[in-house]
Amino acid sequence: MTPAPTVTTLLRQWRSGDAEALDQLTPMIYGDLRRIAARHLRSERPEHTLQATALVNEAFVQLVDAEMQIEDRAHFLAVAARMMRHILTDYGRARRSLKRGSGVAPVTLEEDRVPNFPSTDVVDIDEALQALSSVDERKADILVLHYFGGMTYDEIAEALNISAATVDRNLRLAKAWLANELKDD
Amino acid sequence: MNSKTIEMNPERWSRVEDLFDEAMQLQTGEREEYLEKACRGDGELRAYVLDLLAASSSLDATVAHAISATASAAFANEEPADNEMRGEMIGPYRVERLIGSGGMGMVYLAERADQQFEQQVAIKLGRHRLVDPDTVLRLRNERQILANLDHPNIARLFDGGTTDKGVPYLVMEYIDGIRIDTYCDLHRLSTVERLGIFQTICSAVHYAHQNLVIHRDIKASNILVTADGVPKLLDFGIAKLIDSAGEQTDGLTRDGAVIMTPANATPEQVLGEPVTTATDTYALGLLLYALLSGYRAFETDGMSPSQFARVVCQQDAVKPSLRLQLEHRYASHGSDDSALQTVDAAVSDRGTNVTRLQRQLRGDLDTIILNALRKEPERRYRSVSALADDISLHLRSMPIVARSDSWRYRAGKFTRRHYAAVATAVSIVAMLATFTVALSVQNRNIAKERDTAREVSQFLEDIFMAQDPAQAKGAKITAEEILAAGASRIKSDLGERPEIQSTLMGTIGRVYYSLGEFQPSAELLQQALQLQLQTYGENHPVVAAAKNDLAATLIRRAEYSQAQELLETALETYRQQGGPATAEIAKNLNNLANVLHIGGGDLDRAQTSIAESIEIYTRLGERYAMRRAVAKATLARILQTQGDLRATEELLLEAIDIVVKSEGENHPSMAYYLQNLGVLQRTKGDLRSAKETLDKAVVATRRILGEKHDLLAATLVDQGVVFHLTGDFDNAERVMREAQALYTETRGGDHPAVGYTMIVLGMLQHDMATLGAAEQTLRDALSIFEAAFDHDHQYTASALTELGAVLNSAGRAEEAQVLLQRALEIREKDYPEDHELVAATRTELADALSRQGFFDAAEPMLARSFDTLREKPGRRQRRANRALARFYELSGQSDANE
Repeated sequence: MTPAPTVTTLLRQWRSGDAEALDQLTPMIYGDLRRIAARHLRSERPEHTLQATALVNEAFVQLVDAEMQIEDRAHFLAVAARMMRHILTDYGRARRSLKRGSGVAPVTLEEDRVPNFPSTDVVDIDEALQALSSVDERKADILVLHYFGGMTYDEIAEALNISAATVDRNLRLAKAWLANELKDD
Repeated sequence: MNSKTIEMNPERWSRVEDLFDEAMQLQTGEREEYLEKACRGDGELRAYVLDLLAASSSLDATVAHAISATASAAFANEEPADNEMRGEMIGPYRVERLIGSGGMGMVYLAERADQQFEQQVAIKLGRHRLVDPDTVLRLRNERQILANLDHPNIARLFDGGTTDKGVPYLVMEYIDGIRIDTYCDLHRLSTVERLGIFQTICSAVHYAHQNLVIHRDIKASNILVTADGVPKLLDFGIAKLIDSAGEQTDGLTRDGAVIMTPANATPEQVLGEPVTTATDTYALGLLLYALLSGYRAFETDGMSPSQFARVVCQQDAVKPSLRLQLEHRYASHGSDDSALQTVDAAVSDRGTNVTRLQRQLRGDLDTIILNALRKEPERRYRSVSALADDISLHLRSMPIVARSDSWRYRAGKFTRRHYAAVATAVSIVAMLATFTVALSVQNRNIAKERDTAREVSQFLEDIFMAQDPAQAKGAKITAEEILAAGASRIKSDLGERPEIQSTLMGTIGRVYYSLGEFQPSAELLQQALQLQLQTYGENHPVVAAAKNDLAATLIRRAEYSQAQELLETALETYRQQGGPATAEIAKNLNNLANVLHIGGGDLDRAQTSIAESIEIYTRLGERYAMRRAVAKATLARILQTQGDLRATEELLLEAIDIVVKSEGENHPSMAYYLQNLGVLQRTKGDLRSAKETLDKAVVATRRILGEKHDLLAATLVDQGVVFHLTGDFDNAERVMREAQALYTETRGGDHPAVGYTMIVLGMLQHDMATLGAAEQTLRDALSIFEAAFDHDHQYTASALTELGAVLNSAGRAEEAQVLLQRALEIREKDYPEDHELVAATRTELADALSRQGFFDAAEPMLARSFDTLREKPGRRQRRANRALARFYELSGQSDANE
């Protein structure tokens, strides 16, 4: 019997062109992202906010062989960051439809308030990112890795195979663009 | 897209990108003018780019809030039990959801139910019912004092009471913000900006102190920064309120001073002594330490209460600047990339680099922080405002008031209290810190190994504790004494914990190596490798790393074939891991090239290996600068052996350049490369430069590495050779004898290095015309080499050549010929036909032949040597000239006789 492939192995297979490896990888990362997040809330921690980036990083530590190469680590974080965007956007959408009373979302969902930023939620961010994607996919991706993955410039550079200086330059414009897009006038 | 944007297509977007990037390079004032010109009348484009340039800088916080809020809400649903209070009423407030929980109970987000005005509040709900009416009354009074605190940076306490069920609750201002440390990192605040926010917090704490309220639990998670950048302290005085209401304590302390977060506890809290305003000062010191350096003053995660109490009450915090330096030094010399990323993240979150951040912290800020963190409350800043004042003085570049603990004070204190020998010698403190930091960083991400690291640190600490300062000679315990104590305790105490035992043996083995003590180093590393083989099996990277450590020591002990075998199998393990080449592979290749070169193996393979190593380090970038320098120096030595002096000098200068740029002039590598350069200059015949360089190298080596270091011996040998060549025989003999004695002490009397020193001494004795002494010295050298090498080594050829020359001088040419023929065979095996060393041996052989009258055989050999050495002034050339002269003299006599 062959043992189940590890996250590390799957990640390597995927990077070397095996698309199916990502299909196998996804449920592993996705499931664990949720599990880790839930445990975070259960444990006694006084922080009021939960950093998505902390979750992604912890998922890395928990799921992945620590001997992983830097490149692999960066790719893992990138996959997890993109997944985190989908998990949170899906949830945000469901919450919005609940607000509108369409009633399709499960009743356990509850409203969350972000009083200081009444006009911005994850769904807004997601829509803005989609718009950016249509003209400049890479910058949109860099924003996702930066905000949803909490990745450093070096990690982003490694994952996208560009230089850290390019990440820095791209991110400056991308952030300006996003800020302009989210501005509430 | 919304109305703010313009019609966009990829071409237009790429135009926007160029304009934006270009404009960002300019001063704010110049941007508009630039865009005016660059947009060539396209007003829409110009306005759009200007919008982008002006776009909000608080974006990070906005996005982080949105993501965090959704994350909290989304994942909270997986835990419905936490929300059973939803919709319940507490006083006039309706609970919306749970936003936190901790030792003091649950925290809920709630809203006034009467809708008089829309207001969200945070409600802390205790866990126990109150029965005693006196307590209820006292609580109400104290609550009133807290409610009177009115400061823009303190979250207000609005109200409080007890629920229908008799459980006490507090109603507080709800702050929607993020933790101060996260906030600072997210915005990449500089040291000065961080100090600014910190001073704001100090002013709030000082305000409370003036109103006779102590916070008691200041920590990053109790300070939130709002989207407007305003820091707010939460939970002022709450610890005491909740405590006096009879809450459970976590058992760490006695009555009186209770609620605290272990990681933030102060010595007086641990000891159950009275809590004063100085307690808050200490907590602020911990906060500032972490905010500025990125590391916690004390790593106490997972410690048992007694270990923890000991650390908090006895162990002084390492200066933040030193801490950063140690973390960085370990990370950039170690093999663990996650450690490097941790350091990198810490400094890039502060918008700077390691060197600059270290420089910012060194001095004033180190002193200020350690002053706040003193163990005795009465020796800390006398008030929080005094702390804030010192920071102001520092920011205005004026002398601060706080003083570092004097050496005398620290020593006195430690002896008085029988607190360990940890601080009795600065070098030992630094070494302990290095072990602890190295191990904790190395294993930071792996829970099991993290526990191991902690036990290892604890163990090391115990070793230091066990040294009684009273019994030490003077006030100083040497590192060697402590290491020896440690090594024997590892064997006796840790037999059942192989993974800890092997980690410790490895650590101490490497320390011995760096001290140049190769015998104990080899013993410990050998044992560590055996244990690791049992734990991990043959093909594990941990084992490969242990093999590399051991091989490095074995090379120094001239056990080349064993070293080579270890390195070959380790390399195979690394290669099997797949993926792009790592720093480990590069290091392994470097070691392999070394052993092939020094051990007299395949030089071509040595060259291929080291070339690959350099290529990998170059690709891995500046963080491996030092290791790249080392590899270049290795290649330089190989090329020197192969006779390519120009390339050698170039590589050596490159290596020196790299070292100076990344580590400065006082790095040990400087001593090594200076020595190499001196040897090179000597080889090129530039004796004046060589003498200068080597004199400098000897002085630097004595200063940087001490009087007993291996390198000192090597440099002395080279210096001695230069003395010899410039005719200063007395000095030459003096330094060569010092070198021989030193090598015998550090490496053992049967080490090839001792033999090599004897060759140069033999040459000197030959030129001093003490032939009997020279013969004895060279024969001793030969027997050392024959025992050390299992094949013919070039050192053997060197000894044979000189011995042959001595025998020639003594008129024993027939004996000499046999030895010199063997020497020439060895030379020709490794070197090109016309290499200088081959020519030198050939000279002596030809001399032996002509002394015996075999002129036909001698003549072509002498001609060849003469040709080879014609451009190379030096002792070899002089000897060739002399041999040629003798040939003509003898052959002329023989012609005349015929």
